[in-house]
Amino acid sequence: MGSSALEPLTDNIFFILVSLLKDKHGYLIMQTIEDLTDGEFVIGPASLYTNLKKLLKAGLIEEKPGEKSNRKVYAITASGIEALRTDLKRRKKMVRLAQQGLSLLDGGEKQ
Amino acid sequence: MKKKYVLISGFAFGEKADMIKLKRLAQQGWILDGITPFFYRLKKGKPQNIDYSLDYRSDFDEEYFAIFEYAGWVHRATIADMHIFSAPEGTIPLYLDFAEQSEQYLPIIRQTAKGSALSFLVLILLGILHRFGSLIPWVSHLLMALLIVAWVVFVFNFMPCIGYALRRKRMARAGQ
Repeated sequence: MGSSALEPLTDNIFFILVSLLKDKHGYLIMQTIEDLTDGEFVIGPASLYTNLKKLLKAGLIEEKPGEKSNRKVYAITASGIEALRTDLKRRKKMVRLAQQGLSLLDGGEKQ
Repeated sequence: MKKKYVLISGFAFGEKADMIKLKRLAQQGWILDGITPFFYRLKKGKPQNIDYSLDYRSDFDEEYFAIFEYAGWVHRATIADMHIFSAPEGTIPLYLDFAEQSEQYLPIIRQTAKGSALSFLVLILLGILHRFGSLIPWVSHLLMALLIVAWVVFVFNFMPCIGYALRRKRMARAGQ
């Protein structure tokens, strides 16, 4: 378990944080995620809005001041970056475990 | 402008059926234009192939509608904390994650549960009073009338509460 209530991060939150490594208008996040993943991962508008509120509350992202209220700009915070790093480690470990397991399986089949 | 009103089946149990009904009406050119406590208001326009979707949200601002619009979902009507949107067929849905989608019902479940408990308490109190007050005719009538009102309030809180709780459970399970 991480320090924030949102950890371990869901895929949606993981991708929102990745796309906010560069400051961005809220509504552009959906398109950014689609572009980053070559359309393999999409997020619905209700999901995005819900998660933006959650991330703001948890202090993982912040709102940049001085923008129009319907076009807010968001940025990841230091604790957001920390949460992303922690989750990246978790995901790497998951991938490593699967790779090890699968390579054993592949090796066993060849013999 | 030609207008028409269509009865709402009730969102706790009839949401899915109503969204399909609205979709069929849009294919005939009747587009959702607003909502009143018991009816959808439709406006005559060009036939369209659109999907309708309902979202529950109490803490929303202008950005909420801006984000939905950017994703292709046009805001059509709002009643209480319920917002109805439409989008061309095949648009990315409001949620792709059942677990997240199920969370939207929490506030309305809490609210209707509170309403059920309170009206139930009032029902019991009125019931007790009625036993004692039934000797005087006008007091008895008044208490009876209040009992009926409290009963209606109870039913209209308790039924949706059960409906939403079941839906939330079903969705959360599908999301696991």
